[in-house]
Amino acid sequence: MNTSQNISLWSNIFKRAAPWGKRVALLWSETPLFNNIPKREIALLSRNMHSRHYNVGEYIFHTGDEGAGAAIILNGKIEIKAGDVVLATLKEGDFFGERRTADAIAVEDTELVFFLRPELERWIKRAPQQGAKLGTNLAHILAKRLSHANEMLAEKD
Amino acid sequence: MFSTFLRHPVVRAGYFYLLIVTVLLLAAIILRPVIIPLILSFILYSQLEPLTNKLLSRGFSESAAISIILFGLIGLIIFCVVLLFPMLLDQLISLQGKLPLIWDELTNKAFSLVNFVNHKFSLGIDINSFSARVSEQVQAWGASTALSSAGMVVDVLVVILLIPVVTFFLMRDYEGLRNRIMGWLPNRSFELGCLMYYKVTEQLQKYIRGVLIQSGIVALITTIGFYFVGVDMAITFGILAGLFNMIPYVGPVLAMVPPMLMLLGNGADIYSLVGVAAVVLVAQLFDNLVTIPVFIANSVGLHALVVLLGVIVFGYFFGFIGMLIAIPVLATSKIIFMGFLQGLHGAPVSTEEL
Repeated sequence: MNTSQNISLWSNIFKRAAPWGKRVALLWSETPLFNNIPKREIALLSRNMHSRHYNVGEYIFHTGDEGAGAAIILNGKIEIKAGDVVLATLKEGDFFGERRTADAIAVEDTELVFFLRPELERWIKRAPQQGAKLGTNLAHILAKRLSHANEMLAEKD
Repeated sequence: MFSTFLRHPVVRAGYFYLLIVTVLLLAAIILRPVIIPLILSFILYSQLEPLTNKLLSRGFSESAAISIILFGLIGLIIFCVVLLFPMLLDQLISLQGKLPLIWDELTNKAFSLVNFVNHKFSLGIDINSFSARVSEQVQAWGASTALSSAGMVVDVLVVILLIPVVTFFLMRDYEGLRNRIMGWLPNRSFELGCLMYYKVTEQLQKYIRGVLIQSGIVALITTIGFYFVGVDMAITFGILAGLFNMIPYVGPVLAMVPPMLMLLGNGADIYSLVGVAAVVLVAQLFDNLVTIPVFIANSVGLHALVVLLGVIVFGYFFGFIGMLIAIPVLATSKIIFMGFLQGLHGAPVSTEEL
């Protein structure tokens, strides 16, 4: 759990600025998902993101789970595995979405920041133009990943 | 066998659900002295939150956005206190003055009816002792009403003063506090817990907005209608009809009672009574054909029978407030229970199914 959440509720009940807020906004702004989206919007969004701590060896998700949103790695390392085969290793600044097609396990103590779907939906209602940009960015990312998967399949053949 | 039953997802969902209900009930008991301003402030916050977000995305700082909304809110409260409150108070004072006359007229009418039935069917009812008992009851009721009215003015003032303060803190700090409480969820339940929270709040927000709009429209239609039918205190009875309209099925009938009693007390004819019924009927037609499809449209997803029974049971145990809160409480309960059930089945998390 992050530092702010370890502090007792009563000691600072009304203190809201999460110390990781700016860093989270910066990390998201560097991902292709938030290309061309103003930093101010990302900062506003990151205020309602949720930080979670995972211990070494802890499962973050299992194959087939449908998540509640995307998550970015604030620190630590995650392995994406299909059975015993390691498909990818994700580190600080990498992110994953809500469709979970493999297992994810923390290989170091890891801190993730979740950007939940309901918050995304509310943001799109409030700022539809920015939402459209995010949709386009997501389409680019998916197209790129599909083409990468096709290349891998072609190499196998 | 029994242990298998205890491990069944429905039973386990039941434990968690009972735990949540117990915690909420305990919180309601502890916070009882301030529960009404708290609920009203949460309602205001839920309706003002989209406006805060709009101002934030237009480049206002958080403090500026909250200040603008808060000043608007305080302005609205001052408007109500300065303009509407005296008008309503005048109407209530005039009603208080007329009450004995209205009551006399109503009891006369009732006694003549009882007398008629008594003679017609030779029932032998002692009308005089009945009359004395009723008179005593009315006097006792009058004294207790006068006392409770004095206490009520103080309560209303406390509520009016507390609401802007609580709403300000909610606008400034609620999301931070909520995120911190969500942080207490274990990792494996975090995503499901968050989705359940968002689903519950989204439905409640929509429902409250719909009901507020619905009541406002019904209050407007009935006020205008009562005025043209010739009911005294049309504004008070119109607002009352708007409030009663929040109670499904029973509300429209209740809305007719006060203006009809007033008309009967004033010795009005049958046409005026039919006029009141017609006004409420027109308001209901507009409500069912226009307001509900546009603003509410099955926002809570409950069966009509559940709604009807829920309103009666809540009304029996908690009175008028119980009837008002029956639907949001039932809808929230359904989402929470279904969420637990889905989570314990290990089914994929989906807001659509909650």
